[in-house]
Amino acid sequence: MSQRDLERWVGPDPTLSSEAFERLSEKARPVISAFLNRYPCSHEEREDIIADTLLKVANARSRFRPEGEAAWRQYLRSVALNCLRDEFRKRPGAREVPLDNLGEIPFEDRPYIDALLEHAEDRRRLYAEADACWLGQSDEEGDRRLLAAQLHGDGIPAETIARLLGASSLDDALTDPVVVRRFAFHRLYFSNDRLSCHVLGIEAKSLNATAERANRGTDLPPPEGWTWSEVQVVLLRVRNGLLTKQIDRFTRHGLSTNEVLTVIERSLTLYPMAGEAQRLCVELPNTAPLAKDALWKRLAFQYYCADRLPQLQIHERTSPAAEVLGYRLTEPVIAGWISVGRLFTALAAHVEQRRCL
Amino acid sequence: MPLDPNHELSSESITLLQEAFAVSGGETEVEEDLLVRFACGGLDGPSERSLISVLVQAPLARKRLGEILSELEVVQHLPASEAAASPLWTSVAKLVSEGLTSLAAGVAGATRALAHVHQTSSFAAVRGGEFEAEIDREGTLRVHAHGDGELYLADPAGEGIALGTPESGVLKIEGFTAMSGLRAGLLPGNYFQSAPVDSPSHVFLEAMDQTVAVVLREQPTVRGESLSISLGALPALTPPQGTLTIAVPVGNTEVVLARVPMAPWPPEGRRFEIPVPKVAVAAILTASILQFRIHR
Repeated sequence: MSQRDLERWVGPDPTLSSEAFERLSEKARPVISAFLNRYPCSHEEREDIIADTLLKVANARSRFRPEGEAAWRQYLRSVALNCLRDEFRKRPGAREVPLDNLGEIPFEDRPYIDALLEHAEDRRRLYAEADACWLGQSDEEGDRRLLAAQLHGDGIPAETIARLLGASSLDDALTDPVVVRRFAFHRLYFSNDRLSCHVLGIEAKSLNATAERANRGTDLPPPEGWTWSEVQVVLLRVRNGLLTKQIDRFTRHGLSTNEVLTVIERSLTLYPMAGEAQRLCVELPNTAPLAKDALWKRLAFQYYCADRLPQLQIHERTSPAAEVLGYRLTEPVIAGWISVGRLFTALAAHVEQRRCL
Repeated sequence: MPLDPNHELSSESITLLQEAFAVSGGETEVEEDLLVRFACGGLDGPSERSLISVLVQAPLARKRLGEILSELEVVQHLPASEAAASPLWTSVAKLVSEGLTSLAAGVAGATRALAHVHQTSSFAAVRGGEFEAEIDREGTLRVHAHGDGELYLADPAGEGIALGTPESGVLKIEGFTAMSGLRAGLLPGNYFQSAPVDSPSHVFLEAMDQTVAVVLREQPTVRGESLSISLGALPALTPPQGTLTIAVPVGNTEVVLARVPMAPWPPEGRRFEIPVPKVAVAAILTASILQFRIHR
């Protein structure tokens, strides 16, 4: 789809070109935004960088050659990186921030990237494929059963669930291995935002405001039990998935490395995954399907792909729950799954296989 | 050619894919109205399936759904006046009025005054559109009537215990102890306003020219999409004539569920199975009050 628009954009018809660029811009915004996620930009800075990037791309039309989705995305990222550097230089007391250059996308990787990028505009579809790949194939009835199990876990009475979803949904759900794995996945998966809120003890709706205040400074009180400096570290670690050295490098929190480590240690004690795993042991009659690698690969994929977590943090968010549920999950095991993109290629092969069926 | 699941990607390819699939922002937002409709069983098949597929991925929306379901349980047991004040009720009432439009043969125009007993220890008060009644600790019932006509009171068995014109706006009855289930109504001319009070163990059949009470044998129940109501024998002085209207109050008006002929009315009473649209099921349960009326 984008390839056709790319060709129209650089083509001779001005109307088609203009319309195509409008569509490309719309799709490019989240691509650039995702690229900027790793960098400590405010909302305004991010918007400025996206606008600058699209302007530069538009001005470079005559020099652009359409070579597919992967090349287009790589081009957007390289322009955005330059705009990011410019933006950082504008900051008060600015110093040169080392931002690594982007590498090339090898030609032999493109079929895998293309297979997965087909789903990039509909992440729900992508994650449904990931569910099917590792947790097991489901359908509408499977969703109904899963919701029944989730409402059961939320404490909704069985008769209410039966009224909503049908009498058999709950009974069937708790003994279906696919539902059990999917139920456990949703229970144990804590996105960066959700986990940040949990650790800081704040509502989801106030997360953006809290992050903005932590970044810019404020006279308002911080979340209970934290200082603003600590909040900033928690958000950089949990929400942005940064490593300790990156936190040191990019922030103005004023904490020493040891103090940063103490904040991180304290955050880890507040992670809820092990407790959630214990709840699963109580709620599910049979947790045997959770003691195999499928669930943990799915979780690792989600943390790696959706939350862009480094290996260490994937381990921190999965291993305590895995231990409770009888699966030994070590850092080397996770490294084996995610190194050289094995989870991506496994999913790409699964998607391609299903497409051919 | 099938893709090799063991192919090794470059780090730049991996980063690009991570960015492509990174989730920014919150989860999918689900409209409150959609959740209420789902909680009330008012979504059609495709909409319901679509919502379920979103809900399983949306913990916050699921949490809100759980709250709505709990609120429905609570509202169901509230006196109708308090239930009507609930924001949830507004949504439910809207659903009922939408969902029942096609079924309702018509909506009665009369504004109805609802009476409820608020009982605290030995004190109780009955409040209606044009009257207030209270029983003090000595068992004296004082009724303050603000409209024209005669005041009617009935005990839990449905037997009339007082009927008269309040003097100076106040009707006093000594030795009154039966507080729970008290019913009261004001008869402005030949129109009687009444409502079940507390538990719906009895209902009034309301006529333009007379008021009678029959026993509601059991709590009305909804099975599937059918409302089941069992009424006992008619009082001896009430001939089975005219039409019985069964309705559910919705805000300041009501929606007619059924109109059935009074005759025949066998001595053992009658059971009604009334088809109700799925959308109205929870609303009827929530309303905890039904209107019964006879038109001659």
